[in-house]
Amino acid sequence: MNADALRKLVNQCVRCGQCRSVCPVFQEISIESGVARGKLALLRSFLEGQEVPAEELQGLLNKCLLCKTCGSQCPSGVAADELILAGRELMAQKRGLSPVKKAVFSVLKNRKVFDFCLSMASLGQDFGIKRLPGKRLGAISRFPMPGLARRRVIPPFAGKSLRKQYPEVIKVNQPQARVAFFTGCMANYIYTGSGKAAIDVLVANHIEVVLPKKQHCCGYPVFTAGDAEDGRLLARHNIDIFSEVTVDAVITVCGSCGSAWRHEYQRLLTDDPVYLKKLAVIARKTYDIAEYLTEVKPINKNDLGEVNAHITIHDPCHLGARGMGVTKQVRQLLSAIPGVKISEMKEPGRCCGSGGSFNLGYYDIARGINDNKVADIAQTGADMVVTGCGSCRMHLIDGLVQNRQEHNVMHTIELLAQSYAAKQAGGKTQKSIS
Amino acid sequence: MNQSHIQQLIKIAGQDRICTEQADLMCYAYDSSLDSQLHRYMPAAVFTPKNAADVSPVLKYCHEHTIAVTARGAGTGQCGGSVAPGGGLVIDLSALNRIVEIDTDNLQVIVETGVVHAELNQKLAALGFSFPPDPGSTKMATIGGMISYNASGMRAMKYGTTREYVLGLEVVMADGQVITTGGMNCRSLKTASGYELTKLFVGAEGTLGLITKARLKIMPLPEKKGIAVASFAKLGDAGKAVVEVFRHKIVPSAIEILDKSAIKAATLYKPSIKLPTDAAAVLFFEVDGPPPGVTYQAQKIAEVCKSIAIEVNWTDEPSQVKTLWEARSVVGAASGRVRPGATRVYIGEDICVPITNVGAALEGIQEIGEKYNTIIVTYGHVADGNFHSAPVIDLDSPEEIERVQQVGDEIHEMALRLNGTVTGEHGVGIVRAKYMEREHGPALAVMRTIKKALDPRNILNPGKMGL
Ligand SMILES: Cc1cc2nc3c(=O)[nH]c(=O)nc-3n(C[C@H](O)[C@H](O)[C@H](O)COP(=O)(O)OP(=O)(O)OC[C@H]3O[C@@H](n4cnc5c(N)ncnc54)[C@H](O)[C@@H]3O)c2cc1C
Repeated sequence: MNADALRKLVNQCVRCGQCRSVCPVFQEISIESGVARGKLALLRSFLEGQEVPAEELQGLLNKCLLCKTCGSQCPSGVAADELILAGRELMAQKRGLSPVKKAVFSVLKNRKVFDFCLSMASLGQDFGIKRLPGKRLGAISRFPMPGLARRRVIPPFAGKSLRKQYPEVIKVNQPQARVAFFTGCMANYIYTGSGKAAIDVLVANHIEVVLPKKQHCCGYPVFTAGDAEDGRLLARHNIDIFSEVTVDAVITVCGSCGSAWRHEYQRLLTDDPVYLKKLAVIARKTYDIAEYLTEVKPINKNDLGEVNAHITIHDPCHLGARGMGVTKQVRQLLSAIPGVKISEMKEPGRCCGSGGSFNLGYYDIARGINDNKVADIAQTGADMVVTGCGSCRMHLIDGLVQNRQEHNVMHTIELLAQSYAAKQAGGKTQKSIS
Repeated sequence: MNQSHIQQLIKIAGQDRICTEQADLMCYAYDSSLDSQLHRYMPAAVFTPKNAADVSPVLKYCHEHTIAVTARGAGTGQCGGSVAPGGGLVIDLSALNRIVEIDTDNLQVIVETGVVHAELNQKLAALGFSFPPDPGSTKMATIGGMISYNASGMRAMKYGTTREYVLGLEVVMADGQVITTGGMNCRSLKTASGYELTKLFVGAEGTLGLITKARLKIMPLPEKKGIAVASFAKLGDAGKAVVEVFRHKIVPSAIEILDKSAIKAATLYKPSIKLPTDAAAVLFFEVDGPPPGVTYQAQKIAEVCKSIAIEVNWTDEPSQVKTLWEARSVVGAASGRVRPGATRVYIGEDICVPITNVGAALEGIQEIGEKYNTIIVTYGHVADGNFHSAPVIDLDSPEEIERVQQVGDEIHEMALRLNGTVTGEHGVGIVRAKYMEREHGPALAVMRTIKKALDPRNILNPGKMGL
């Protein structure tokens, strides 16, 4: 978006301040610069050529979770999160990115180097981190690490990435459909269990799964940091790779990856008609796993065995009502599992405070927002939290540990996979909390 | 205010409670007025107290060094009241947001003044009670801001304004002294003891003291609501209908008007809202109370309006009542949509006139819009003669900005000519200071005397309200 177009859109904000009532960051820090109204006012001044300290502006624009709550409730229809994102792009063009982000993105852009770094990290990690006891995937670092709060619980990297665990095509007898699986980084390198569960459930439904080896990070962390150019690079790469496979659908297991395909790539590639055309073919058939298994290839409830669990559901911002709109489908799947009891929390769609890399830059704010979420979780009396985003999962586990709560956090599809496994084993699974 | 003052204030208040970063300060250079979009009123520093007790030492220091202090709630005011034209210290009370006590038996609550109106009312609603003044900015306005502007809303005719619900206050005076108005330990609902200091601070716009706590009267929520919707061929007919309803001994809890422009805006925003687009005005009459009374009153209003209106309908079915109110509530937000690419601005936006002059005021606003070739969407609380007129302009055009300022002037002048006031609920601040003399005459001098007595160094919100 050019600066003038952006200025015109920013002008639509009448400064009524309603965003103050919903912004999780503002509710934590109670300072006007924390909320969309403040950020847009600064951006407007900057675009009008008034003297605004660019470094401070860039910092403040980064202090946003992109949870979309303000935009979804703005009486004037201002999509503040999108304008803040456009502002980040503008600032990145003018001022560049921080050296840390630059270094991380240059690794992330190169799939082979990225792969290599993460496998090295997984090999060496037991020296650097101490795994927490119990089932939840959590560890704390033994030494101070740059950019990471000391007490923070992080997940260990998987010993072997998901895509290395499987052949490129996972065949089934008499396939009912053929899907490509866009794993995203979380399911590939960290929560491989959720990727495996997705494959298991798809296979159990006689769906052939293609796992394109050359797929790359969706780019969300890159373009939301303002690096649109590299975002486009990753988008084009993924579009090329997924255009090569003949499939009925593309499946994602993370709201941000799914949103990238459905919404963000479109925005990034507005000036690229060739790729827009290719994208349209894929975006149209991209589904979150919960959506696919309810609306496109509905599961047969008779295949589900008992899983004895009392759960509550967290709707990630980019998967839920403000993103891909996948909320009721998740509940449909989970409530179909015999033995599962769902106790809804107060506001399942309220942001957990993770915000991709936001929780790295502003851990204390992210922690505060998450503490409210953990309190809501605790109030339900459930033993487990189910969600559809790896980043939320990571942040929730940290919050639960910090608040001495015993809950495990799982991906929706993992619970469903357990249910299929229970049926196949002809009995019950163990209650899956640690 | 110089660097050494800032260093001293940091010593008193703590490093993390005083903001001095340029970008942070710029976020306190506006409220929701057009005026503060056109000017940048930069404070030298912003203080964000976490506890009421933190305010007094800061004010004491500012008093000693004659540093201007501007209180700020949510900054949703529309007349530049919470910005600091002369610099100095802005005190942002957003973090003073604790509800100290809810005492439904004695029909009162005690709150810190940064509490947001909707949050208080959500807690009260769960107990079957409410704090009745109800601004459209409920989701963001603070109790301190409401008290300081004497805010109200749609239901002021029946339930009154904020003033009627403030029982007592904790106020930090200009010199840092903390006083309690309404009696130190008083928990009564009325008093005849002494000067009415509590009400002196209501509507004072932070010029007499900084309010840190408030004791507020609350009311049980009405059991039921009903609504009658009438559309009219002429604006004057709508005015007649309002008078007739009162003559028939009915006191609706709200009477809201949408003129032709507002009907258009609401319909553009939400086409599913079915409003008669050929009418000159639509009136929404809300009635509340025990169920039989609600049905009786809604029917009666429909009957009274029948001979004046083109069409009248009524309902007491809760979901229908909700849908109809939605039509009313979207108008403010929808105003900007009547002209693509343009923005609604706050100027001359809340005059209040006697009920019998409602028709004249509405027609007057339309004429002013035509004279200055400016689209103005108008809607409001006709039960007490209070209107919101929303000019919609292109903010990129200096010529339009110039014109809309004249529009604002003419609207205010007209209100005074029609025996009304320049502001029914949004306050005076900077932008309406110039009308104070004309509206109040010698009474303004009395206000100045009071101000001088309580704030001799004029550090509290200087320049506001013409003081
Ligand atoms: C969309 C929208 C709709 C609105 N609808 C209505 C409506 O229906 N009715 C209505 O009355 N108003 C309405 N308003 C105007 C405004 O929201 C109210 O007047 C509100 O009460 C202001 O509260 P605030 O917390 O934002 O105060 P601010 O704007 O921050 O401050 C208002 C004034 O009070 C002073 N002040 C604030 N806190 C204190 C304190 N603790 N002690 C001393 N002085 C203090 C400030 O210095 C300033 O002069 C609306 C505004 C918007 C944007």
